[in-house]
Amino acid sequence: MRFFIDHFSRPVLAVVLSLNCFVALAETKSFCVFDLLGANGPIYAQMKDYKIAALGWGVNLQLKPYINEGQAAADFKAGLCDAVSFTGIQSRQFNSFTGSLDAMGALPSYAHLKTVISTISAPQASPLMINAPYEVVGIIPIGAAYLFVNDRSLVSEHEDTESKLSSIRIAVMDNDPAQIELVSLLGTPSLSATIAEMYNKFNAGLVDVCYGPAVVYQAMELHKGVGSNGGVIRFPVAQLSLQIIIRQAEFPEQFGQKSRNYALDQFNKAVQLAQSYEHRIAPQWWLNISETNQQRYHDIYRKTRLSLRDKGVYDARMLRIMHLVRCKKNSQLSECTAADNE
Amino acid sequence: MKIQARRKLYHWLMWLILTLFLLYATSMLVINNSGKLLVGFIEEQAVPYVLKTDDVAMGCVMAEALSLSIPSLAQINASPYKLAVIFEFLSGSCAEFKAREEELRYIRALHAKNVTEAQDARILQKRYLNLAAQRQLKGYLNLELAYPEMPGNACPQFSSWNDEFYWLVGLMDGLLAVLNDLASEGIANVPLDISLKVGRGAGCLDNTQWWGMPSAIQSAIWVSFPGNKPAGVDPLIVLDEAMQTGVQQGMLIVQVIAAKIYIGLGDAARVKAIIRENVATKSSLPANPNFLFLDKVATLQLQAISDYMWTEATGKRTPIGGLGTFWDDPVNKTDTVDIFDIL
Repeated sequence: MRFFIDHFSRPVLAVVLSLNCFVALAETKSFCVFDLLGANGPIYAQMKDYKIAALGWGVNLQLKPYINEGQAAADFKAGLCDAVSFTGIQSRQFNSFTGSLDAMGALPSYAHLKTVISTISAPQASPLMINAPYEVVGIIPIGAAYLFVNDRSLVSEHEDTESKLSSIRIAVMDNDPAQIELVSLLGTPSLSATIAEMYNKFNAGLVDVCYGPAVVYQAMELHKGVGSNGGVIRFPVAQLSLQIIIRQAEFPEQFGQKSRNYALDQFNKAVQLAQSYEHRIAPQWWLNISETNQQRYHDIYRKTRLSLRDKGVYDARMLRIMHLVRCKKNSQLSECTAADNE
Repeated sequence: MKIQARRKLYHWLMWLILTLFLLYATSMLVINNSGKLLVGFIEEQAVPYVLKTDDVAMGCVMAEALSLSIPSLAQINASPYKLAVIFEFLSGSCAEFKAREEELRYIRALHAKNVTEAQDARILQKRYLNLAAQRQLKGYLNLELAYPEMPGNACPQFSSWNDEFYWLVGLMDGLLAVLNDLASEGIANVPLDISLKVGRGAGCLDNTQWWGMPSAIQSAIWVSFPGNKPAGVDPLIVLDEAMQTGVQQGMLIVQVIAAKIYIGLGDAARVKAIIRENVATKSSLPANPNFLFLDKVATLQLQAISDYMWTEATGKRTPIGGLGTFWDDPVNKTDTVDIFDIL
C-alpha cells in the first residue's frame, strides 16, 4: 500500500492538479454581441449557449450586448472586444470572403447555403476563414432575405415590368454597398436608410420596395406597407447570416475549427426558425414569379455580383464557390456553360 | 263529485306548472347572473384586495391553480377575459421566476466550469421561458377578446380604474410574451407584431396616473425599434422621466422595466443605480398600502436582477440584507491601532 502511495499517488495527484489548473486557467475574453434587443434578444440568448461551448474549448467569454452593429464593429476594430458577432454585411470589412456569403441572388435555397457553409467550415478551408489578425469562427443562418413590394404587378408576367422599374422607389440599407449597386444597375430611384428607418418608410409609402428576412414582416408590421395590392416576392434576394469573428492571436490554436464545427451543428435549428417566420406570412401574400421573371432576376443579380466583384466588394473566391454549388445542384443552368461565369 | 275532483286536479296541476316555471325562471336568472356576479366580485373586490397584500408567492400559486378554470366562467354567461389577463400574467411570472433560478444555475455551472450542468440549466431555463411566453400570450389574447380590434389600433373608452389596470397588465402580458419567446428559440410562436401594438397601446393610458409605466413601456419599444419613435425623442430620457414619475408617487414597479432595459443595453452601472435607488426610496417613503403587492413584485424582480449580477460576479446571489449593495463596492477600512510593541 505504501509502495502504491509513494509511486502512484503523487503522479496521479500531479495530473489531477494540472487538469484543475488547466480548467481554472480558461482564458477570459470579451465577446461583443449585436442584437437589436440587446441582452434581451434571441441572438444574445444563442450566444449564451455558445459561451458554454467555448468554455469547453478553454475560453471564458464575457458577453457584452450591442444594439448597434456598427458600434460593435468599431469596438472590435478598436480592440475593445476579443470576439464579435454581427451580420455578414458588417463582417465583410473583416473578411471579404465570408462577407460575400450574402451576395445578391447567389444562393436560391437553404440547401445551397448548407452546402456552402459545410464546404467552407471544413478544416481544409480554414485558410479562407483567416484574414489576419481576424478569423471567422462561425456562420449561422438568419434567414433568406425577400423583397416586400406594395404593388404585385411588379412580378406580373403580363405587365411591362421593365418600364415600371424606372419609376419604383427602393429602400436600400446605407451600410450595404451591394444594395446601392443593385439599384444603380436597375436605374431606379432609391432611398438610403438605416435598418431602423427602412421599414417605417415602406409602411409610410415613401418607398415601394424594401428588403429583409421574413421575420421583419410580422415584427415591423410590413402588412401595412404591403397593403391589399402588394406582397412578398418568393425569390431569396440573399442569404443573411450571423458571423462570429475573433482576433486569432487571442484564442487557443484549435478554437476556430471547433467553433466552426459547433456553428455548423446549429445550421438546421437556425433554418427551422427562419422557416417558421416564413410560414407566418399567409400564403396569399407570397408572390410567385414566372420562369421568365426568374431568369430576369437571375440575370440582374448576376450582373450585380460581377460588378461588385470587379469593384472589390464581393470576394471572387466566394462567388466561385457559390457558382459551383448552384451548378452542382442544377447543371442545366445557363450560367454553368456561360463564358463569363463567376 | 267527479267534477269537483277534476277541478281540484286542474287547480293543483296549474299550481305545479306555475311553480315549476318559477323555479326554472329563477334558476335561469341565477345561472345567467351568477357568472357575472362572480366575475364582478373578483374584478371589483378580490383583485383590489389581493393588491393590498404582499405575499407574492401565494398570489403566484393562486394564479397557477385557478388560471385553467377562469375561461369556464364564459359558459355561465360571464365575460372572464379581463380576469384571464391578470391570472395569466401572474402564472406567467411564476414560470419566469423558475426560469431565473435556472439562469442562476447556468451561471454557477459556468463558474464551476461544469459544461454539462450549464447546458442542462439552459435547457430547463428555455422550457420555463417557453411556458411563461405561452401563459403571457394567453393573457394578451384575452386582452384582445376583452377589447376586440383595440390593442395597437385604437384606445378603448375605459369605464373604471380597474379597466385601465387590466389594459396595462394585458400590455405587459404581450411585451413579456414576445421577449420570453425570443429568449427560448421562438417555440411558443408568439406573434412578433405584438411588441409594436403594445407600444401604441401604452399611449392610451395617462402616464402620471399609472406611475410612469406607459412611458417606460414605450421607451422599451423605442430603444429596440428606433424607427417607431417620434422624431426628436430620446427613449432613455423618456425612461428616466418615467422612473421619476413613479418614484415620486412611491410606486416603484416602473424601476423593473427600466432595469430590464438597461440590462438589455449592457449598462450595469445604471442597473446598480436603479436597485440602489429602489432600496433608498423604500427606506424613506412607505409603499402605497393599496398596492403592497406591486411594491413587493418590484422588490422581488429587482432582487432577481441583483441576484443575476451577484452570481455572475461571485458565483453567489445577493447576500441577506444586501439588496442595494454590490460585490465591488468600496470597502470602508476601520481604524486599527499599532500592536507591534505588544507582539
